[in-house]
Amino acid sequence: MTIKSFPLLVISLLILFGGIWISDVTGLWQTESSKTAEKILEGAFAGEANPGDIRGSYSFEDIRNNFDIQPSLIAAAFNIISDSPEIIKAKDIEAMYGEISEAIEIGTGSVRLFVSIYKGIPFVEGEYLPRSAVVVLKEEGKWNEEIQELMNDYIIDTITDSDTDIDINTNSINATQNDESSLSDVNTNDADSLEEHEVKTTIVGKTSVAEAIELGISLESMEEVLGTEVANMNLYIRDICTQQGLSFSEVKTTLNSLIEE
Amino acid sequence: MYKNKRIRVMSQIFFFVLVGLIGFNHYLSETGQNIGFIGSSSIHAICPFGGVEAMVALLQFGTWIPKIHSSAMVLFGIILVLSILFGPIVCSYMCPLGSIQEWIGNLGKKIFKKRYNHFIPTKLDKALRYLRYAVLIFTVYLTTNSLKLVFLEVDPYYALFNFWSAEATIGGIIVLIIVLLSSLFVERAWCKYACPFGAAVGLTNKISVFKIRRNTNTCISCNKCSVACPMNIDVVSKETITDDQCIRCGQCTSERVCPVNETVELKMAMYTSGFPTSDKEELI
Repeated sequence: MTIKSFPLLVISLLILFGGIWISDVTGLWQTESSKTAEKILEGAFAGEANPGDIRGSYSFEDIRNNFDIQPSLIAAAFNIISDSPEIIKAKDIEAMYGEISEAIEIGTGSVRLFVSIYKGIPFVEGEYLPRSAVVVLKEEGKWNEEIQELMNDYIIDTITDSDTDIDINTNSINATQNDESSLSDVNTNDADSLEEHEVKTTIVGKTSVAEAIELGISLESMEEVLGTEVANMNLYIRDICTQQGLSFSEVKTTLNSLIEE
Repeated sequence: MYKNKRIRVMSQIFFFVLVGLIGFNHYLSETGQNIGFIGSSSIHAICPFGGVEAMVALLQFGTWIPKIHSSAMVLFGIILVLSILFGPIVCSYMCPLGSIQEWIGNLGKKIFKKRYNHFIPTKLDKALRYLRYAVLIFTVYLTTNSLKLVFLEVDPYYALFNFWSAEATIGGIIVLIIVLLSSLFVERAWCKYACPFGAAVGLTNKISVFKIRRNTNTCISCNKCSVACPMNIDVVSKETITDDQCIRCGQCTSERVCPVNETVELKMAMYTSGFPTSDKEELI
């Protein structure tokens, strides 16, 4: 049996696009990470989307879809002016604010924290929020004395006047602060507390086992916390937590306390 | 232009434009714009080599390499099926990097005439052809251990469709420029010597259901098939082409340069007594 070029091409296209169509219908065709946050399994909030599962690739639109928070509100919380707040991603915040000091950063973790507080879901302290987020949460009636007490040392006074807001247009992301008003010149409520927490947030979503070891945690301790042997030092701690069904936030807190020790 | 060539070129243009549009649409979608009817996946999501790179890590550690998604694995699976049926036609009909090398090569053919594609000494050429297996093994090994898309640093395919964006790597752009320039002298230099995906799917040449077969009864040994082969395979000396470098472009066939009808064809062997007839003859 011989096959000529035309039927060869037609059959190949049918197999290729047919295969893609079938994999799409069966849910195998995923061209990006799932943007559906995992549900909380236990406790009073069981069944609700878990803010701890927000990843850097989540856009504000994805956050709205999962948590019903308006993108414009999140943008305001993080000092962002944008025509299209829905396209901003959590990781963009990290890029805009950068690492404020060696261990203090405003990024995806801050977005998770903001969403947790907004939704009234308990959170593990250790992440920082810009004061603008606190203002928004107060305006929305989501802030109370108890949260204030927990967050006292984790609020960063960024510059909030209109000249220094972070400006995002639809084509690019521009942090408009000049050098003098750089966010690295942050004030905290208490300079001592800043120093005190300098090493607390060093484990982040993209910290690998190897990086955690560099921070001073022994492999044995880490395996004990994770409840499994580490098969590859380059695995993200977050991924191991997911595989083991552990809460990354809780593991992170435990590991950060080990670093302090 | 022969019908075979026209059909293949149309396919190459289609896939080049399709992948280019998807890559550009991904770039637009990052800025909040979108061409509605075109997908906006990243090039990683529609690159079947991503499936090869990520497979071992997925099996061993149960984790996806960042930037790689299940679509890459699905595409690799589909292309594997296609290759087991017809051989690596993905290289000759679909791969945009192969296509652009071929198009630049047409210019090289005009400049260098018969010398084109014969610049590299045979011994060196033969040795270099093993290099793509080294690239394949090294890439999969490094990716599995580092759990990072290490090949991205030198990937000319990704650079081809992202050179305008910040996502392109300097290494990738440099390799792309070298690949395109070398196409002026050597036909499909990247495919022959360095393409790790070509190395993987090229192995199906040994087992594919349809193979290029030469009818020795009607062949006049004019050597046109061997001269036309972009991969420098000596078709005239073989009855069945199982060379791992064959890309099933059909240049050697009776549809294209072979002057005798039904002599060099992409053909399924007739099975008798458990052996394909031509393969049986080879065994005897």
